[in-house]
Amino acid sequence: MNSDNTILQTLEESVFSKDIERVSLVVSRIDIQSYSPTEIINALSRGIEKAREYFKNGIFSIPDLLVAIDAYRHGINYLKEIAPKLMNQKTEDEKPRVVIGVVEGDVHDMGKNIVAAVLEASGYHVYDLGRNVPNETFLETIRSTKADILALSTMMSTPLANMRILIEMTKTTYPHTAIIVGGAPFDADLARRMGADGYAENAITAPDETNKLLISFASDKKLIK
Amino acid sequence: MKNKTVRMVNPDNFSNPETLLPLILNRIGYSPETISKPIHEKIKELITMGLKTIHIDYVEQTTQITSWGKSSITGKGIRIDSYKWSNLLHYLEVPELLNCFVVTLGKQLDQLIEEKRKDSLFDAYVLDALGSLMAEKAADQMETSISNRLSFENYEWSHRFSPGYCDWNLVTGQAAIFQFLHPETIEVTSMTSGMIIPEKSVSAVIIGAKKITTKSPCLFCKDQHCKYRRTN
Repeated sequence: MNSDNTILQTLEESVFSKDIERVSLVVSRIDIQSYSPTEIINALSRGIEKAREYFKNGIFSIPDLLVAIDAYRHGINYLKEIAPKLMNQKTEDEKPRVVIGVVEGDVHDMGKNIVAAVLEASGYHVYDLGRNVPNETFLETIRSTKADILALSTMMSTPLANMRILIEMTKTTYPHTAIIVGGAPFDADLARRMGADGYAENAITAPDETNKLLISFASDKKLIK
Repeated sequence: MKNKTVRMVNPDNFSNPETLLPLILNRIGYSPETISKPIHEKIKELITMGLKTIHIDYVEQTTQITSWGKSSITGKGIRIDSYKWSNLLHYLEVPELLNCFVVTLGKQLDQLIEEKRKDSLFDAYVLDALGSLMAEKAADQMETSISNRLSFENYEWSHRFSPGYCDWNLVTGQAAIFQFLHPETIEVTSMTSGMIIPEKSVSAVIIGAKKITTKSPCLFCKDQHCKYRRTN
């Protein structure tokens, strides 16, 4: 593969400088014979990683990060369009799999949408089930995708009872799937009492928590005691 | 008695993107000083687009309070199970009326947000913020308008309160309001969880009395850290 990474650096910079048009332009100029899809996707992802760092350091606000995510998605969509065969199944299969959704009874999905996009940009294969999702749909998707992570969200307290049932069923049926929860009613203590393995305090740090969860699950330790 | 006489949102105040822009920026966490010109223009464009989808509608009804006890207020056709709000009635002179309303921005804004989400999270986020702001403004306008109308009949009014806030249970509270008002007539429905569809809708109640010296139970409430605590 190509050793001149200038164009990939430009791509990375275009993402974290929130320049959607430049992302499209740069991706369109990349010679796809010289760079693997993984190299291009990694460049886009590094742009998101830097944008997340900016957010954590107070340089970016949430809308800034969202524009960066939009830029990333533009790049990915363009790649899928011009080189669908290069974006092959193998690349997707290597990624950790996350099933995500807003639990039944709630349709507030803005936070979940941001988490799903950030996770995707951080290298996860995300199966987004949407909002007001019945428990059976979550369980069936965990089964069919062999999910590593189940990410559940709600902004309301009324769906929590049903969510607790889903967590229990998941732990019984799919003990190797780690469960992370987030949303307005939660703190780490409630997440633990609900039986979750991890808690995402906000959408931007969700990948950090998810990464930790994967590592801790691999070593058979829970993230929140 | 069913009313459709509330004067609703004044378009001069709420349909101007320039007026709304600083409020939206504040809501989404952007500083007007640091925002770039393209983003500034983009947000204005989104506000204009979002406003075109908003079709405010409401249903409201006033009823007589028939009794109140330690933990509930009963009116003709509705019961409000809230210890704190029923306790407030002890501090009002001749509490007689309950006014309930549901106001909505309509389903088109929800649809636009869903559609935008597929291509741009930023667009969806801005439109969502616009919807939340406008729903609040519409509820404020309902509250003011109902209070003004009934003040002509020599009533004073409490602040509005909604299911899910204070100690009024979301599920039972929403069910009580929906059974009383039947907002299905304006295409507003409630899920069993208490969630209202369309998302940008507000349900609320206000209490009318001959004399009101405090408009909410916050003064007597021990929860000092409540983020919804009011000062009067």
